Amino acid sequence: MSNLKYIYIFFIACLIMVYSSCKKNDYSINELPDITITADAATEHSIGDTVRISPEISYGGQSAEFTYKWYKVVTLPSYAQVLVQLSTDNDFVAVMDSLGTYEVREEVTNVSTGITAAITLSWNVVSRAERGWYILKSTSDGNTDMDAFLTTTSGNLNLTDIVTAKKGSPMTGNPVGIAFTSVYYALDTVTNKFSYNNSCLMPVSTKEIMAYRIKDEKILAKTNRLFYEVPDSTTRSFEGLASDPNLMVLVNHGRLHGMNPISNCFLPERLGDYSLSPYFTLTPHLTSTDAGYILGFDQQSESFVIVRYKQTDLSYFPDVYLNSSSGTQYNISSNNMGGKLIFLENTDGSLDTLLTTNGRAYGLLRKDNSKDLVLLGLNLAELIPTRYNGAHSPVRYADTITEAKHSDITSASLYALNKNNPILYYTNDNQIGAYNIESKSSQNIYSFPSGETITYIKFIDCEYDTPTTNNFTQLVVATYNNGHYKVYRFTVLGNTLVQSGSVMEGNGKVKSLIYTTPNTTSFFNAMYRYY
Amino acid sequence: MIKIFKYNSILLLGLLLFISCHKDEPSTYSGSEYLEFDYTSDIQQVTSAYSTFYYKDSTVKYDTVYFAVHALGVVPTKTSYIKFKAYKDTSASPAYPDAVAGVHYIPFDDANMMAQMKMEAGEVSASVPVILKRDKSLKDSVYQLLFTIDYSDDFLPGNAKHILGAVYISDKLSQPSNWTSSFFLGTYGPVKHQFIIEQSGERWDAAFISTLTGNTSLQSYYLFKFTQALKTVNAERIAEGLTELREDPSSPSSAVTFPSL
Repeated sequence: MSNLKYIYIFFIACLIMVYSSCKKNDYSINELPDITITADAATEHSIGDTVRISPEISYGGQSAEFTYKWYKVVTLPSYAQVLVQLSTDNDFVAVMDSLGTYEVREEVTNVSTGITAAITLSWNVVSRAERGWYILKSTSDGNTDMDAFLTTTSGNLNLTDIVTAKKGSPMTGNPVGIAFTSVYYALDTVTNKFSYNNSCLMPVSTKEIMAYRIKDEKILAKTNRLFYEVPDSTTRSFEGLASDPNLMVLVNHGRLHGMNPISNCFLPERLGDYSLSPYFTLTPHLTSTDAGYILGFDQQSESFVIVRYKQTDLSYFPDVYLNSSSGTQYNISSNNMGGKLIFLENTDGSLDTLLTTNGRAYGLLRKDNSKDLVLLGLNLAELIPTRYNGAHSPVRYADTITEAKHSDITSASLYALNKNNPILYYTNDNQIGAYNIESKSSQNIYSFPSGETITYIKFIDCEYDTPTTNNFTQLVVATYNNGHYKVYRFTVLGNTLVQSGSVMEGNGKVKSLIYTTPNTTSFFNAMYRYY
Repeated sequence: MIKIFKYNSILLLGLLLFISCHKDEPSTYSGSEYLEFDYTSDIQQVTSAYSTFYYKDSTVKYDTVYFAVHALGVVPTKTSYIKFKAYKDTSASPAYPDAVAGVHYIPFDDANMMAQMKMEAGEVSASVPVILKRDKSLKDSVYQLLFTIDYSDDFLPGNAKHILGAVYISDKLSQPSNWTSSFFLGTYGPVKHQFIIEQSGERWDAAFISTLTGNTSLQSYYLFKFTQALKTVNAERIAEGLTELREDPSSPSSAVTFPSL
């Protein structure tokens, strides 16, 4: 019994020692309700859409105070993904500003427990802006803005005053023109890296130019970032531009700046004693093989010039003449022509009796000290290195249009060339006339209602869209009346204009327009159709 | 009775021992601290810098370049000192002679130098100075200072791919190390080099050239600008009865040219 007593005492002692040696933290857990976040998100939104998500937060039927954090999942240039905080509200509200997958994460934190629950949502952001009409217009205060009439998968969409919406104000100065490139190099000033092949509109006013990426409706660069040597803003006066796949040209006070479209800035002005007119035309090039050779006109020497890419100045044509197939020369110099160019465009066909391709252009020259015009036919094969490479005068035709006989043409305010046939359209106030270059006959072919003044006319042969059912061949005319514009489209049947589609209307006065398509390569290669 | 008591006691003891067990917290790194140069690609590379006195006033005797380093391991809790160690180029045909300690640069074991090579407590990165000296020998040749991150009391060298450094030192207009045979301005010549410096106002040393890497748009601008300027300068020279701009005035074949645009 005494042994049992000692054992018992020893056991109790051991128990006390073991118990006292065991220091156990209090890790007891009281079960808490789950934070449940419920949110619906669509699978697709268009760029520019305002997306609002209002998640429901439940906490096992209990009430609690929460904080909220919305993050956007951003992929860095290194392809690493990081979370960028967007807001601290429960509701997510954001304008879709980039294409592709848009992924967000909401974190909801219980203030008293510190426990956080999260939900991740994603959807696809698609372009709404790649097919349709972009209208360059002057505003009521004499500045420049753009409207768009777009065709989207969900229907038609009109955007007004796009420039003001994007940069807070219109472009300063009157509108000059609008060009397109599918290969603009955009420089990210943060990473100092380029993104390539950006399809951009290049709207130009007398004071500004910008690169506007169509698909996500972003201004990639404004004037100061579009020049390596920025023209002085006080004296700057942009007057004209043209773009082909190898060369974009911009005229500032008669001086020419070129930019390789596979680039991000205009180069310094080209050397020489010249003052270019704002009129250019391009050689036809369904591929880029013959691109990069633009026909222009030096108002100072009253001579035609070739603006070549990969050149630091301009080239004039020699007074050398190409024989025809019959051996006859056309001895018409393209230099010192005794007049100022007021119109220049290309059309199908050839004025080259040795070649049947590579296009022709027609220009209108206002003779010095005269109201008469000279209609010049120009052989565009002269521009192309693989053809004549500027070895001869390009002038292959000349026809004087006298004030006495054709005052409606000589006093016209606008001209356009049919891109399929040698027909010159001209406008007087609200009237459209047509001059058949081959028969030398003219007639009025359309009259708009009184009060509407024609401000733009262009024969647009759009064969660059996909599917091809979207393609069209139309004479596009804009009118202006009392602060308001209308854009009409006509199918041309001989000398009859048949209105096609709905009239596009808006505020302002149309200076120029362009029809864009998602098929940007074909579009870019068809740019010569606009010049 | 004793048996039952004994078994129950053992069982109770085991139970107490079991419930007294608890997990340790995860351990944290407590080993050595390592040091590397900052890098953008995890490949073997030499972190390079360039120092030229050519563009500096003649009274300037020293130039300092900084190397960005970062620590690996734990955040230093005290000011931690960094060591560099110079080494010689043992290749068969070194591009440049090795810089001489005390002549072309302040030795890394100089007391004042060592005091500046440090990372402050609580920081995980630092800019470490390397001080170059202007010596008349730099008028004749570019010198290279090759060095590596060395063992110090506070740091061990980190990943071997990111511990080598180099400084190219000169006091003459010399062909930058990255003006290679495929350089976008064509073959090198000192007259051409001087011409583009005058036309652009830029140094056109290796450091400047490295900023143009990959920027084909900016390269096309410079090529256009220099081609245009050369055309103007040559026209003026010829009008004055001079030859076109040449590397060697007596050699027509040495005329300065640029690649086609």
